[in-house]
Amino acid sequence: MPKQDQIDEIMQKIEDIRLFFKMSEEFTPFLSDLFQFLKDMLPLMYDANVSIVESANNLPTASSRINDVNQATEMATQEILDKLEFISAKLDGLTASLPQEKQGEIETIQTDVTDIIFALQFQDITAQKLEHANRILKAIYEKFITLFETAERMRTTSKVGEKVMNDIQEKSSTYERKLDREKLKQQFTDMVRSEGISQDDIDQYFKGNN
Amino acid sequence: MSKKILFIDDSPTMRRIIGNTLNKIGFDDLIEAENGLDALQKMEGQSVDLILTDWNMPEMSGEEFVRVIRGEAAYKDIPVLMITTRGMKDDVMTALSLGVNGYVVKPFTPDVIKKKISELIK
Repeated sequence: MPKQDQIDEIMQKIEDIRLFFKMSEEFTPFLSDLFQFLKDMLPLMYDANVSIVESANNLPTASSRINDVNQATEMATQEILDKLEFISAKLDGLTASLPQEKQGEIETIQTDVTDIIFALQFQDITAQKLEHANRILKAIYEKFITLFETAERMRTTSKVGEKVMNDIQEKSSTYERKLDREKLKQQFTDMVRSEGISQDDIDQYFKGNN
Repeated sequence: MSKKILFIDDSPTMRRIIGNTLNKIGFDDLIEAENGLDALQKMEGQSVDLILTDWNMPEMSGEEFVRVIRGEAAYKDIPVLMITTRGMKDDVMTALSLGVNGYVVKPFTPDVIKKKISELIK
């Protein structure tokens, strides 16, 4: 005849099994939800992956083109300045040899030349804006690299991670997606745009300070 | 005029434009520098009456440069005119707190530069 403690032990085992089944019953809906969520997420992840890889691949080229544009406009501006300085010097030389009534006309042309020289500030201003955009591109590229490294780590840490990454990679290679270029362009413009302050307002701050 | 003016900008275009303007308004004793560090080297042993500086520059920015010279007995009283593309109120406030004496946002006109220089060189 079994002893009381053996009976208790058997009863405990039965209770454990009952609890296990009860727990499974509670977990089943959660697991179904989780699998449904993963199923819904995967297409979005394919989409995001294609877009990210595409964008990341284009970033170094875009950055290099910005540098090329800056160099080209700098050189062109220097050439224009050479010509303008030459014209200005010639006009100075002409002034002395012309009668008084003609000298006013030369002065007008000199003023125009000065205005053109000052308008060439656009080169420095646009170069600085482009450089700012370039810094943003470089920061985004570095973030992408970190993201890719994290994704690679995910592949090695669990079997599920490996499966998800493989699925994404496989689908991405054949998946095409249209980018909303206008929307991206607008977002980029907003990122680099800033509201300015007028010269009069600036002068007010410095008033009484000198 | 025998005043010596130092102007600092990393853009060769801007250095030419500012140099041209200063020449036209009668200043020909000019020192030009590509950034704050270059300016500090060129200032050594020189007596400068006015400094025009850009803000965003490699090696040493205009902000760092002003901070350095305002801490040096030999340079702390030299008037500084900041000429920059940075046109936000916070930037102007930062410049003011550093001890900058005038501030012009690019693009500027010859008249603005003339006016600012005449205010700062007395």
